[in-house]
Amino acid sequence: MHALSLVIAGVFFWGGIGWAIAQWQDNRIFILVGVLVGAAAALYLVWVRYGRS
Amino acid sequence: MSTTALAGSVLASVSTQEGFHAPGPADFEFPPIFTIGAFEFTKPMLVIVLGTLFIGGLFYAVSRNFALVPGKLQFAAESGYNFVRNGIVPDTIGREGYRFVPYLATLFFFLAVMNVSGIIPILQFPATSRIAIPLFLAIISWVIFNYVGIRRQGFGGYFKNMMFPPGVPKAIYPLLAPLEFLSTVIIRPFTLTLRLTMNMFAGHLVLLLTILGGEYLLFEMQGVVGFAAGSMSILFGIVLTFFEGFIQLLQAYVFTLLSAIYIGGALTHEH
Repeated sequence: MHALSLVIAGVFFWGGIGWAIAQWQDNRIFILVGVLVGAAAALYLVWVRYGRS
Repeated sequence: MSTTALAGSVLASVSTQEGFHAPGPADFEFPPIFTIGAFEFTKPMLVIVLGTLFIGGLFYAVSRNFALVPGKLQFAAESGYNFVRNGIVPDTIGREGYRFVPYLATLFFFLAVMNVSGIIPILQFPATSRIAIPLFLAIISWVIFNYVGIRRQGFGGYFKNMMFPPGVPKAIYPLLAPLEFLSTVIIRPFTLTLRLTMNMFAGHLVLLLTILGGEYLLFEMQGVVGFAAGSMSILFGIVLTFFEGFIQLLQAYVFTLLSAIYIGGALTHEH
């Protein structure tokens, strides 16, 4: 439950940063990069906190 | 059956040879029942007012003559109240949660009545399917759990405990902190709101579709196909009505439970 909200937060946060960089660099690829980085980061976070025993 | 009246009025307005007018979000807008100046009193407002009067009246009637050996009405009301007080609160907040029971019980009963008015015969509109009510209830829950957390742990301590939980390797703090903050402070009210609104919206839409569609198939289409499909659709609509009732109570419970969990988490943030 909390894991899902972390993934959503990660996608939006890093996707937002990616969007800001895309606006700055005028290249839409950064949105995708941001979203993927956010998803990967959030999934890693979930693994660190809940996956390891 | 009042759905017939409802369906009849909808069909009368759209009964053309063009076909079936599929229900959509426009069916959640209602013409005002009466207007006072610029204020329009619509059906969702009527549902809210009636629901509030019902809950208030019920508990007032019960509380007037408290009997040690309860009669049926008192027993029903007490069962509902104990469901929140002994069922939800001890498991989520613990012993200091009892000062939140008034809020959580009110939340639960209000949401249950608002949701269930989606299947009560003449009303048949879940007031919680308009986003305003779940939104404001989620905002109230959000204000409460943040306020409680800040009061308990201090302003800095609350956010420190939220964003840098102990037991996590320090190297991932930069990764964790913004995500935890977003997840707790921004996303929680959104998910509370949208979970309830979308469940009620979709449920009401599905009921509209099966029942109105069944009516259309039964009466507007000629032939055996129309009759068979229409009656099956209406039967399915009846089944879905019961299912929808279950979902409505469940969603009221989930909203209350999550509010309690968030309050509990804000009070005791040592994982």
